[in-house]
Formats: sequence, C-alpha cells, structure tokens
Amino acid sequence: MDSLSGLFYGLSVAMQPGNLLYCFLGALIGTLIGVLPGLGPAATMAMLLPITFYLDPVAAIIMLTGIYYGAQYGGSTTAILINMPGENSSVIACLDGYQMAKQGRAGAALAVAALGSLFAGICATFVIALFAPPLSSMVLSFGPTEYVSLMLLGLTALIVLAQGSILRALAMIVLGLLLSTIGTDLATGESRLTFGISELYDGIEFVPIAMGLFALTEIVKNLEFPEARSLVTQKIDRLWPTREDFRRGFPASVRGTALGSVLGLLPGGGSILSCFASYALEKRLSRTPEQFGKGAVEGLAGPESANNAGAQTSMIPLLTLGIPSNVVMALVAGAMMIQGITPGPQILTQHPDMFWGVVASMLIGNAMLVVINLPLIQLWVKLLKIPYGLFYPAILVFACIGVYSVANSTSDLYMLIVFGLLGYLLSKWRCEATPLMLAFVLGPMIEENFRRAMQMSRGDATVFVTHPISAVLLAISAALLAMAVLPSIRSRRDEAFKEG
Amino acid sequence: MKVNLRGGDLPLGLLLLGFALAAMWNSSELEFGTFTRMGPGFIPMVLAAALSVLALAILIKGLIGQAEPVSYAFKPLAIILAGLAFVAVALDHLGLVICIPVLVVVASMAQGRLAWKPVLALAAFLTVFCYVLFILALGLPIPAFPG
Repeated sequence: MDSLSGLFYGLSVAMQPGNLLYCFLGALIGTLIGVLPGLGPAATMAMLLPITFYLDPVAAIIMLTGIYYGAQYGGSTTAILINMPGENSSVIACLDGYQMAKQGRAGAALAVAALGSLFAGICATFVIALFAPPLSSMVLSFGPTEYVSLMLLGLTALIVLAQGSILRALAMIVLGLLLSTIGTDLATGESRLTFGISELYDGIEFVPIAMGLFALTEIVKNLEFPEARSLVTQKIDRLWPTREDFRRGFPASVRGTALGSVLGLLPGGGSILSCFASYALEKRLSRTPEQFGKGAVEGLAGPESANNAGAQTSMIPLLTLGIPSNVVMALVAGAMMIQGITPGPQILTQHPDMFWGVVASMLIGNAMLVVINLPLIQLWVKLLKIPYGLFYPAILVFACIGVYSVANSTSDLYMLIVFGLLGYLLSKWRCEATPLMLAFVLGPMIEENFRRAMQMSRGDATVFVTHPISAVLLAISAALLAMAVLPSIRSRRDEAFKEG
Repeated sequence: MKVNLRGGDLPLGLLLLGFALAAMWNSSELEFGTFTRMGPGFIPMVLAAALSVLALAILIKGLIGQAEPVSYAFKPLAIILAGLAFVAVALDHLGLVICIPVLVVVASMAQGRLAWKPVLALAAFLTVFCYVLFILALGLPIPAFPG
C-alpha cells in the first residue's frame, strides 16, 4: 500500500464513529492536562493505561497519541497567559508568548501557537506516512545483532541529549537496565534479583515506576515551590494574528516543523528537545535577535510548530523499529502490548488498520484541536483558576486507581511509593528520570537480542563490528559519545540547553 | 531543609553503590554461564559491576569537588507517601469509599494548612465520581466497600 492510498484507508478507519469519539476524547484530555500545570502526558497516559484494555485497540492508540499532541496545544495556552509552562515542552512559549500577551496581544499569540501547531501536525503526519513504510520494510531484515546495536545507539543518544552530567546519565541508564533484569529470567525460568520477595518474581511493572518517578516527584516539587499564578489578561478579544505576524511567523513555522520532524526521531528527543532547538535556530537566523524574549513572533511560532512535529514523528521509531524514543512512546508501546500487539515493523503488514488509522487520526485530531483551543479559550482560562491544592489530591487518587488496576493488586502501590521516594531523591541529586525509564523499557529487548546474537555467533563478540549495518550503528554511537565528552562541544551543548 | 552533602554526590554514590553490591551479591548465586550460552546471572552481574564503578566515580567526584548544598522538602513528601501507604494497606479491606476520602484529606495536609471545607467537598466529589466511573461504568475489579 503506498502512502496516499494508505492515508485514505486510514481516514476511513479514523472516521468510524467510535474512533472519531476517542480521537476527540484524546484531544480534549490532552488539552486539559496541557493547560493544567503539574500533570504531564506521561503521567496521564500511565493512569489511563489500564482502562485502555477495555477499548478497541485502534481506538485506544488513537486516544493516547491524541493526548500527547493535544498536550502540546494546551501547554502553550498556559505559557502565554500566565507565564508558566502547562507542559514541559512549552517552557519556550513563556518567553515570547507571554511578552506578546503582556503587550495586549494574547489573542494573536494564542492563534500563532495554535496555527503553527496545526501546520506542523499536518506536515508531520505526511512525514510519517511517507517514511515509516520504507523504514519498516528495511528493519524487517534486521537480526538480533543489528537490534542490539540499534538500541545501544538509542541509549547513547540519550546520554548525549540528557541535560547535565554525563556520568549521572550513564549511571541512570545502567540502573534502569539493572532494574529491568529483576524477575524471572525468560531463558531459564530462574528468578533474578528478587531477594526472596514474591512480589518481584514477575518483575517490576512499568506503570508504578513511571507514576512514581514522574507524577509523584512532580507533585512534591510543586508543593515545595508554590507558585503564585496570575492571569495576565481576563479578556481575549482579537483572536487573529496580523498580516505582519503571518509574514514573520510562517517561515519560522516551516523551519520549526522541519527541525521538529527530524529531532522527534531521536531517543529522548520528541517535543521538548525540538522546541529548544527551534528557538535557538530562530534566534540565530533572525536579523533582530534583540527582540527575542520581548515578544518576537518567530520565537513563538517556530518552537510551537517544532514541539508538535516532534511529538508526532516520535511515533516513527515505535511503529517501525518497535523502539520507544521517549517515555510517552513507551506508554503507547505498553498499551499496544496490553492489546496483544507487539510494536515493531510488522505492525504495518499485520495491523494496517491500526497503523494507518492512527496516522490519519492525527490529521483529524489536529483539526479538532484548533477548534477546541481557539474558540473555547475562555473555558480553559477558567480552569486555570482552580488552585493546585484541590488539583493534586485528585491526581493522587487517579494514580492509585491506575496503578492498582494494572494487575489488580496492592503490591504495585508499594512499588509506587518506593519509586516516588527514589524519584524525588534522584531529582534532588540532579539525575534525570528519562534515561532510567527508557533503559528499563529497552532492557529486556537488549538482553534477549544480545543473548541470541551471542548464541548464533558462538560467543564471538566481533559480530557486532563485522555485520555492516551493526558496525555503522555502533560507529555512530561512538561518534556521538565522543562528541558529548569532548570539552568544546560539551560547552556548546550546555549552552544550547541554557538557551532561552 | 538544607543539607550539604556535596550536591548529592555522596548520598547518590552510596545509594547506587548499595544497589550494585546487593545485585552483585544476589546474582553471584546464579549461574554466570559463558559468552555462547549465558546463564541467568550473566547480564545482572555485568550491569551491577558497571553500576558499582559509576557509583564509585560519583563518590570520588563528590569527595574532591565542591557543590551547592541541596534543599529537601521531606515533609510534603512524607505526608503524600503516608497517604499512599494507607491506600496500599487498606484498599483490599476497606475499599475505595474509605480510601479515597482518607487519601484526599491526608494528601491535602502536605500544603501546610488545611482548609477543611473545600478539602471535604473534594473528597466527597472524587469518591462519588470514581465510584460511578470506575466501578459502575467501567466495572473495574477494585474493592469498593469495606468487607
């Protein structure tokens, strides 16, 4: 099936009333959690994961992806109106978006952000439709050796992209891999690292770790630094950008979309990295860099397009390689596995309705999101008046129900407590949870493929460099690692993260 | 609460070293195997050894370097974890209708002051909402009532 007929087929799947409803629900929930600071798409999806078991597989994945890109729309609303990122990936929108709002152009800023996201969303959908099918047919020829090298490349990219200390990022990855070995060894059936605790025999569930490391840690940090929220403006009258905004914003939006589409593919990339990179790029290209941070349209349009494009193209590694590139995608992978679908290149041939249905639903979802966000903006503004004190106990309640429902057992609740504590301490000690989490997800796949590769080569570890594809992948990893360690590039990397 | 332990290098290094040593001790009882046919202990042992090296590096860095003290907010953390611990212990016996209000009230104390009226209203609302959504509508097998 070629890309165009695939998309039409996908539209026919996504237009079915049930799927349309869940696409809308996903977009709505995404906007809601995007607008509300302190609850991210990862935590939301972790809470909803057990419920997706009761849905049709295609509807479940359509809804979950809708939450992810929907959060990119909602997050910028909060950033523009109260100078507080509703979502991590809208940190950048605070800079110029909030300044525009202060100058009385809140409506224009909201419209620039939403239209930029829409443009990026549509383009990224076509990028997936064009590139995912050939990539997945190429990956089908990969053996265990290539898979191991590919996943090592993914983990290396995580180290390079992690903020702060490389030593700490490395330690988090090894810790994540180690945690993933807990439980019964699939090859021999022996229990490993269980210390005689029967709850550990089946290994640690993904949901309590994700909830503990991300949702709980976030709540405690928010309580530690209570932020006063002040709405910059109560009334938003003019919701249309000026001709000048279009002239300056559109090229930035195109560049942001291109950048985001590429960076979305990287492990640990996705929406956050994309918008930071886009802001840095716009500032460098601009003839008036001094306007940045004072309400430059380019500084809003570029990153807002980039984060949405990155959010969507981060689906590509999952759909073609079966490798989740960020925590949100790891949750989507989890939802697929709950439904008995293994993420990977075979999705396209074995479940074309899921592949094309989900891709096409992004077109519909993005269109819905513009309607949900622009005309209904007053509704979301009201939501921002709910104090955090009434909001976080509700998150905790839903978290408990979500974690309990994974296996209908309270032992996962104890895990949630352990990882909540660990997550808080690690964040205080400047360790990022993302490398740990992704290593935990990839761990079993790496181990299985590594053991199989070594068995096939009769214990000869040189296969990783004698197989050409594997050798290329490892060479890229080595180059990336060298780049991260070299002092001159390191300082530029730190600078790029500080930008903005 | 501000604690100066070299920017967290010391406690982080010690914690990771503890994990690594525990994992090495545990996986030493498992068959290590060979490169061709790896035993169940092979990968955990290699990873634990790597983690111990990284932990030592972090410790050494902490001992020789200088770093900002870290401030911790253990009180809200402890209160929230206590609320969750109550749910973990009590959910199977007391059900959602008891656990949700208790969790909401306990967790609300993490803000310092407790405004009873809105907190009780929230507790009541969430209990009814969750009961209707998760038990009645979705039929999740969660204990709802005591017993």
